[in-house]
Amino acid sequence: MTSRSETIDLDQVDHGRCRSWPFLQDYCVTCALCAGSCPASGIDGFDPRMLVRMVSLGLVEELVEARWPWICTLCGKCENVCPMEIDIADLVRKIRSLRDCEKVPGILYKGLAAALETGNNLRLPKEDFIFIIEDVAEEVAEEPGFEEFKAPVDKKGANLLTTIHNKLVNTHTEDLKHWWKIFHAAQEDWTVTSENWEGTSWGYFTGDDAAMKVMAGRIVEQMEQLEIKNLLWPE
Amino acid sequence: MKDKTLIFGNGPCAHYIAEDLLSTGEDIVIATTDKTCDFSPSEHSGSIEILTDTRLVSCRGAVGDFRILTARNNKEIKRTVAGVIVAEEDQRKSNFSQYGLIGSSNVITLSRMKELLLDSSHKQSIFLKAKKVVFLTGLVKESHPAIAEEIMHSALRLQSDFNLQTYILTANLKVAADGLEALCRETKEAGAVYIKFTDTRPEIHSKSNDSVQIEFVDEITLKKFRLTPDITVVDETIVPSDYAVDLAKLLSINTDPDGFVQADNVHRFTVFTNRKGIMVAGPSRSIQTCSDQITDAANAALVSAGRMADLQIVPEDRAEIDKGLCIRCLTCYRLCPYRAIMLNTRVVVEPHACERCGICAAQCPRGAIHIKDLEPESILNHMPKGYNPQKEVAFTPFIVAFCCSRSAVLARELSRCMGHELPSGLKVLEVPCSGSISLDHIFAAFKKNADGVLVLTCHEGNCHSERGNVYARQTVDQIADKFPRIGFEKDRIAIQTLASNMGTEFAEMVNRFEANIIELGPSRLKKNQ
Repeated sequence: MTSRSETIDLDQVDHGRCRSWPFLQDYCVTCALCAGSCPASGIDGFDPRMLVRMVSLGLVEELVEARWPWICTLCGKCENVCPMEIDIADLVRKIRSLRDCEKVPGILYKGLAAALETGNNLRLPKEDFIFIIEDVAEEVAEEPGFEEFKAPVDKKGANLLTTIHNKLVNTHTEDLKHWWKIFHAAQEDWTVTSENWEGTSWGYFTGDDAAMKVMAGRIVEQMEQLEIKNLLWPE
Repeated sequence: MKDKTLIFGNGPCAHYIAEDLLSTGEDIVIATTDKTCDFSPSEHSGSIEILTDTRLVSCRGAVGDFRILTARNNKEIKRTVAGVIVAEEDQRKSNFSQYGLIGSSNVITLSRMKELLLDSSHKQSIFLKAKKVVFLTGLVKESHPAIAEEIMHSALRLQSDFNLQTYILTANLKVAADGLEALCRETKEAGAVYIKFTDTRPEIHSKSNDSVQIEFVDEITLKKFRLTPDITVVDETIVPSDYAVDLAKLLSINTDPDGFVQADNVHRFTVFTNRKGIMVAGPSRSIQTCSDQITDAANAALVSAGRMADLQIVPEDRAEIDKGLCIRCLTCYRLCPYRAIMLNTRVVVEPHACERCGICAAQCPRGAIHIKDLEPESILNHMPKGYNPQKEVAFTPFIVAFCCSRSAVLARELSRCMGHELPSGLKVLEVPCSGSISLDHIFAAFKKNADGVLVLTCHEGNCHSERGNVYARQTVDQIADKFPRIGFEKDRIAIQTLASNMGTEFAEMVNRFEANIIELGPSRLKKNQ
């Protein structure tokens, strides 16, 4: 945030620049219920009310450059208590989306770019993915009571398609087993796809709605191709 | 001949009332200090007379028969009317000095802004050159929803019709009136920016070339801003018109602390005054928005039209003055809150104006005023007969509670409904107003074996008779002060205030009083019987 002593000449500010945004930020009555309910309030001085007010006044650049929008966990408690029904979490995503992709913190942007390019955040090739799936399936089949277990890939006409969070085929393969054992016990007719299996959608965190649309569209496409009616999208 | 209603005023509220009354067949007289009156009623069955350029000189008589004397250029005009409605406009005082500003072509009052928005010829010159308009409101003294409404309407027009950026710099934004929150939202949609000041105030600088510069810290973002408006609009304080203040004096109507023609008393709501047959509506009685005025006008017309039925009955239980005993000291005339005491060759009570509060009878130094069923004797006839303290095993105090019919009697009812236990020796005597309780009433109670006397009445400021409860307190204090000198415990008498919804408190008050009396033991007067 800029120094508080600097005086801003209102001749230089365009209050109307965010008015077309659909988040109702101008209705703010500055009651501060948002700030009171926010679990991240106070971290680096973060204050959702101040953020809403700055957008309403048109002071956006400062927010785009600031760390604030990335401190928000997008939990949505603020908008749950807001008497004016301002969409504060979506407003935060909008501000995040205005940041240069180079300056997006952490691996969010890189992971998203990988997902858009290769179908998953890890750039994991199809053969490697299938190898991991089969390997884990064999481990499950070694356990008593699961001797018959198989992990069906690209099974046409299955009842349920499940997406996979990239960490489950990376560092947390044990977690795959829990899901699969449940499917097995429930005698579920399920499948995973060999391509575009990624269940995470980091466009949500970077405010990139277009990317989210692409990711969701791929899942829909696969369901149509494999003629599957039900989706399990753990995330 | 039908009875007429006189309306003072020449503004929208007065005209609404006139229109309403005429349409229901009432005859009216409009009296205004204005030189002209452009009131033109639509189809109506009542008769109308308009007295322009006229000021009230005096008003005698009472409801049903007010004798009005007015003057136009020292020429007397007399009319007799059944009722009067005060519906004068308010007046506005600019708040320039509060903000350290001086009015100029670009530092203007809210009224001036409203004029500019109404007058199409002005639009070109002032609004086309401007970019930013600032409204200053409630930053020094609290504002009012009526002012907030006008500011928001103006800001809305400036934003949407003239594409100007408006800023509303306000302390508490007064939106507690019909539709104002929605209006506030509309102004925000149109682009008005609200800057709210709670702990700080903006610094307003008047520059030599008539321009204004405002510096402030936005209390939410904590950022410092500089604002150079092209037009600065300053709010106004609304006060009653000078003529309305005069009317209040001439008509003997109690006013509120700001001089509006209606006492700050819940019993006067909505359009009543301390005088039967004299109503007050619209900006004469309080600061009002347009919709408030329309409601008030309709209320006044409604009450006015219903008055005739009341006048058919001549009440028989009103105060009467014994001409043989009266020495014309005028105590009654001075104290009557309803102006029901008439001064003719002798002092008489106008029965229609009398509200039977009993203040005159209680305060008359000659005991010359009587009200049926309110004499000390007649009240105390309600006491239980054959009360014999000797038969009582344990001491059960006999407590007489004089209760005002408007508060304590209702609180007692509530107390019963709520199942509170009340002292078994409690006798409640209902009085129309605690102002009717005289020294004689209290002495009579003690003579009739009371161990304690309690007066329960309305909270101060809530008395229908304005000061009846104050007189009651004086009477009780007077006795309590004298009791010790004759060897009588002063705690045997007490006065307390409550409201009709205080059932629990009623029970607490009487039970605590009983406990005090049990401690004191039976009254000495009773023992000596």
